[in-house]
This record gives sequence, C-alpha cells and structure tokens, in this order.
Amino acid sequence: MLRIPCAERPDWKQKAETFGFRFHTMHGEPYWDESAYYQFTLQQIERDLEDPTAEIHQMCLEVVEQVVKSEELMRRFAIPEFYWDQIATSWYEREPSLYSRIDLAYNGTGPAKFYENNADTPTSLYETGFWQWLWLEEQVDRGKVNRQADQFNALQELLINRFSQLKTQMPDHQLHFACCKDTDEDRGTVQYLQDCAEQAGIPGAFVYVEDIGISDKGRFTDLNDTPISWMFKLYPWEFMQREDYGKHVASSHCRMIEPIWKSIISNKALLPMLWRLFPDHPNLLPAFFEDDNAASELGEYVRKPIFSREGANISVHKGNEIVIEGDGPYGAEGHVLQAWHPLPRYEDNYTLIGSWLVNDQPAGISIREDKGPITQDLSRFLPHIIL
Amino acid sequence: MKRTRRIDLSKMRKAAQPGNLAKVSIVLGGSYMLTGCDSTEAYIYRTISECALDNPLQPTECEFAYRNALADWQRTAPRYRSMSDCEYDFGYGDCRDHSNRYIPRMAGFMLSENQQGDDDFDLDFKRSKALGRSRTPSAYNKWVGADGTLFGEYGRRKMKVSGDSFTRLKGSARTIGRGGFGKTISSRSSRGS
Repeated sequence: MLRIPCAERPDWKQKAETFGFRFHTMHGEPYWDESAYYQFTLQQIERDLEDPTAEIHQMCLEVVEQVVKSEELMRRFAIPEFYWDQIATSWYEREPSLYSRIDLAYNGTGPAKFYENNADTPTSLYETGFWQWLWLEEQVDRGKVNRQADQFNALQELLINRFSQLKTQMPDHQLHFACCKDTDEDRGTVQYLQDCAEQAGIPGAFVYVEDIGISDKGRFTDLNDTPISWMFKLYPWEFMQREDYGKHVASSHCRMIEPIWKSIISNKALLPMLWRLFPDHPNLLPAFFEDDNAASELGEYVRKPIFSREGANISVHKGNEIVIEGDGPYGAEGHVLQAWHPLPRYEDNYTLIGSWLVNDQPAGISIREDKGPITQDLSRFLPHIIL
Repeated sequence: MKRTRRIDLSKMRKAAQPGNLAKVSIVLGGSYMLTGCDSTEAYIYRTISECALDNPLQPTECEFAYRNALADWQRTAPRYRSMSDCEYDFGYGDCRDHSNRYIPRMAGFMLSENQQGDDDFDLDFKRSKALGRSRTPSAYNKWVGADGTLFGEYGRRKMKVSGDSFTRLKGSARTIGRGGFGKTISSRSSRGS
C-alpha cells in the first residue's frame, strides 16, 4: 500500500460541473483530492480488505440476531421501546438492505482493524462508485497511470444489480429518495442512487425529509400529495425514532431503505457486542460498554458516543488522561470504549479506508485522509488503484 | 477485473443533459395529448356494462367510476348558449339543457392502468376521466375531454395517453401535516456518515 503523488487532470473541475459533482470543495476546503493516489496489490485488496469486509458484515448480522431477541440489549442500544417489535419484525422478515460502509484501519500489512459500521446512512458513495472510477479511466487514457491498473470498485454495477433485485419485490412502485435540505453532499448522494435505480428500471421521485407529510390515511406523502410507498432515506433511524412522525412508520405501509433493523448495526453499541461474541477476532479491536468493569483493562482507548457521526464527540484517553478531545452535539445516550488503534500515517496524513458492501457483498473501497487522527467531515477523498 | 465494467457516461452527465424534451402539440382543431415518458395505457368505456364486461370482478367499481366521471362532466363540460352551437361541435341529439345552458352528453369514461399499487385492481377506478364525442369538422368523431383535449378516434377503446390526462387523486391522500421529520438535523451538524 503506497501513496503516490500524481498530476491532476487539468480539466477535472469542468468535468465535475458537467457530471453534477458539486461538492468536490466543501467549507472552502478541497474534498476531492487527486494530487495523489493509493496503490494496493491484489492480494492486499482481496485477502486483507475484501474477505474481512464480508466476514465482519456477517458478524454484525449475528449481533442483530442476538439483540432483537433481548430487551436488555435493545435498551443497551438506546433504542426506544416503541420500536423493539418493529425492528424484530423487520429482521425476521429479512427486510432487504441496500448498502453499508465499514471503516477500517489498514497500512498494507497485518489484519485491517474494524472501527465502525456506517450501515444506515453512508455517504461518499458517488465519489467512490463513479468519480474515482472516471478518474482511473481518464488517467490511464492520459498515460499517467499504468494501463494494467485496476480498482476495487464494483459499487455502481452492484448497486444497479441490487436495485434490479429490489424492483422484483416492489413491482410497479415508485421509489422516493429523501435527504435533508441545504446539503449538496447529501443531495448529490441520493441523486446518484436515484440514477442507479432508474438505470435498473425503477421510477424515482425526490422529496426533502423536512417536506414529508402525513395523510389522513396515515401514509407519508411528498409535496404533490402522492403517497410514498417505498422510500430511500438518507436520514438516520435514530433521529427518525425520536421525531414526531416516527410513530407513523409502522402503519404507513412504506417500505424503507435502509430497513429499520439497520438501527442495530449503525449503532456504536455494536462494537462491544462484536467483541463479546467474537473475542480476539483479528479484525476486531477490544471494545466495552463504558460501565463494564472489563473496560478497565483498556490502556489507551477511544470513547465514542452510542450515536455519533463524522467523528463528532470522539475522544482519545490514556488512563485518566484525555489525549484528544472531540466536541460535538452527541453523547446523551451513553458511550462505548474501544481500544485505541491509531490510523496509519502517509506523509502528514492519517488514512482511513471505507469498505463498501452492497447488501452482503463487498463492493469496493474509498480512501479518506485527514490531518488529524480522527477522521472528520473535512477529511479529503483520494482515489486508489490496484497494480 | 474488480471494478464496474462499463458506465454509460451519457447517463451520468447532468449539466449537459437536454432536459425534459418539450412536449410538442399538434393543433388539429383541438390539441392532442401526445404521450411522453409518463404515458399510461388507458381504456375507454361507453357504459357501465361495457366496463363490467371487461372487468367482470369489479362491477361496483365500474359504476363508481362512471358516476364520478358523470359528476365531473356536468361540472366541467363546455357550456353553450344555443343548442345548435353545441350540436355543431358534438352532434345532433347529443346535447341537452343544463342550468339555462346547453352541454354535450358524456359519451364515455376513460380509466388508466393502476399505477398507485394501493389495491389489487388492474385499473385505477378512482380516477375516471369523462369524455365526449367530438363532431366538429376539424376533429370529427374523436374522443374529447371537457377541456378540449383530443384522445383519438371514437372507435378506439384502448390507447396510450399521457399520465397528466388523469386528475391527481384527491381525497385519497390529503396531507394533514408536514415537517414531522428533520428536526434533529437543526440541532446537530451533519447527517450522513
């Protein structure tokens, strides 16, 4: 695994405009960064990233199996009691999932270490599935990257295939795509998914999360008062379950992607549960609930809120000392502790690997770099190749 | 190969897309509804019994669709000051008095294939569209909507029409509130992960 500087495509910003990639620069900082790329061997990809991704996902599903059977664990996962049955039903009916992204720390040797699972609302999808794919095509054509180079990135192809499968379960249904207002990144992500769905022959529509209505018959509606019977929502279940319309979800006859059982594995309480079920697994880091006595065996550890996004509220501790303090709005629902396993450094950058799944199939990777050891929403996205 | 084999770049372009092709209308006495991407299969019945013959398990729905169409027609059909003006456009014997004016008779009602998926019916009985039979020389013997839209030869019973031909379902999805999702976002920074 190498970091290789590379000349940027001179016209990439115009290209981004043409393809509607509007969030390559965010908060005035570059987000898409093609001044370098990462290079992996095929063995590194297949043995160290792809296979463990499939295995970690299966272990996560085993956690779901355990949690839906236990009121105590549902409580531990800070899931409101109102939703326990709904989540169990969704799981037992195997309500279909679309995608996930798991975050891994990996430096080219040894087992990748699992940080967490973005199983409900993962972003950086478009950059991965399409934009870095296009980068490779064009850099090969320009002779800047070896013609033999490949990329671990079947994301777009697998997404379209998955939508084709989902279509057979919801024949003749329109799929509404929803995200919050005022964010180009989320809007771009759901537009990409809508494009993939439409290429699979599913008619799509869009509605902002804030604009979703409820009808006199208890159906969710879009701004045209059309009932929403099937929805992809880039909006976390843990928020929805605590908001006014959460109570309507079960009776709304609306199929949701991701399904509600994903609230179990997008939750940081997943980490201590995995360690409990699969202790000493080479891809797992020791993790405990904060009030677990066994937590005292951790020397350096990361303290993560049960609900948290984009690295917010994550702090690093060494004994009683706080090494890195993270701020943010999360943490009200409790914390978990995970052994501190710092990200590898390449030059001045801390490098995190996002490993994608479409349903339960590993689908590709994305690479984020940050100036600090905790990847935040200002981290940059870099492409990669396999050679 | 571990990456997507092929991506159709033309489908990925946004800015350069031609946008929705403007619907072209041909003016031939009235305007035809041309079918676009949102076209739907539609069936036209002259009577309840024609409908029931075609949909043997839904005689009640046929009657319901007919009555709704008729009520709509009486509300929206063109009104003429004289019987002869009306008959010029709709044919001798096909007009009648209606609150001090003359309106054409409804000649049939049109049903689209069910796109809602709410119930198990093949046709969308809740949104029937009333049609008249135009006899005006420039559009002789054609199905025509209350607003003058032409739908093709009177002899035809099945055709592709634009999805816009049918009114939005009213009453069945009356939104009684909005904004019950999305509150958490205002107090916390980002939502994706």
